[in-house]
Amino acid sequence: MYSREIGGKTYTFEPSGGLLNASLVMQDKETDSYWSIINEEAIHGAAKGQRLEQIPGSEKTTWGDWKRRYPHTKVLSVRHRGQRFEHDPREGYATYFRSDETFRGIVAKDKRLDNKDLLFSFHHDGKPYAVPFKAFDDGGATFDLGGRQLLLYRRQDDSFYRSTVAFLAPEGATFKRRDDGWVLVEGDRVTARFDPETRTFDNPAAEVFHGFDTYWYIWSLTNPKTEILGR
Amino acid sequence: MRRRLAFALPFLLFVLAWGVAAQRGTDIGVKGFQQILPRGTIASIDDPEFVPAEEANLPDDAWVLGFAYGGEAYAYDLNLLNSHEIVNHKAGDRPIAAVW
Repeated sequence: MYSREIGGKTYTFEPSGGLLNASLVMQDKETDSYWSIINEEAIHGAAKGQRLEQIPGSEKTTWGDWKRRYPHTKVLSVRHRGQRFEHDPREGYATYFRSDETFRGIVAKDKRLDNKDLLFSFHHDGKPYAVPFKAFDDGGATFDLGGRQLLLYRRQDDSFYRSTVAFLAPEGATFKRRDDGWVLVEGDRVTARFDPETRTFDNPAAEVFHGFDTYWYIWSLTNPKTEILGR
Repeated sequence: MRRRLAFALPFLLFVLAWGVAAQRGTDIGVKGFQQILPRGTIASIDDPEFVPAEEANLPDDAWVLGFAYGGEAYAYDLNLLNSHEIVNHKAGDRPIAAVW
C-alpha cells in the first residue's frame, strides 16, 4: 500500500507494461515517470529519485479471516465504470508460483540461494537484506539487525500468499518464544504479547516492520550486495 | 575481399550493439528493465467503488489484500488485482495506491 502524495504532488499510477528484473514497474499518469516497486523509487523520468512511501496496515490473508477481524470492511466492487468483474477462482499465476520456473528464463547471478527460494526482503540503513522463509517459518524466529532484534513470523502451513509479519524490538528489549507464544520483554517485564490469530502484538512497543515477500532471483538481481540473515 | 570486409564489419558491429542494447533494455536506459507489453494493456482501477462485506460475492477461502487505516478497512480480491495490478483511490482523505 503506497501513498500517492509524493513531494507535494498527487500521482495516479498504472502498470508501465515493463518489468525491472521481473518485478513491477509503474508509470504515473501525471509525469509519465517510471516507478519500481522493488526499489521503491522513480527510476526514470521527471520524478526520478523520488521515493515511494509504504503505508503500514496492509496484509494478504483470506477473505474469511479478514471479514471476521474487520466486519465493517469495505470490499473493492466488481462493478467498475459499467464493467463487471467476477471473482475468478483460478489462480492466474498458479503454475509460476508452484514450479521452479522463472519469468522469461531470468535467473539469479548470485547463487547463494535458489532462484525460487521465497524470502522476506527489505532495506535497512541503506543496505539490502534477505531472510529465507525456511529460517523462520516454523512459528517465527529472531534476527539481529544493527543491535536490535527483528522478529519474523510465519507458519509452515501458510500459503505463500500470506504476508510475513515482522516486528522490531525497542533498543535493549528482546522477543522471547515461550510455551504460550511470543512476548516482548523489556528489562524483566513482559510489555507486549503476540496473538497468533491476528498476528499482531497488543502493544505498539513491538514496532511493525516493513518488507517484501519475494523470490531470490527477483530480489538479488536488483540488490546484488544483499546480506542474507538466518543461514 | 577487402571491400567485403569493409561492408561486413560495420554490419557485425551494428548487430552486436543491437544485441547488447536489447539485453539491457533500450526504452529507458535502466539495466534490467524489459518492456513486456505496451503501456495501458493492463488497466489500473481508478476511483473504484467499494461495497459492504455483506454484498461481497467472495468465497471465504479467496485471498485478499487487506488494508486497515484510520478506523476503516478495505479488502481487494487478489484475483481482481492480478488483472489490474494497481488500484488508485483515497482512504479517508489520503490518496493511496493498492499494488499487487
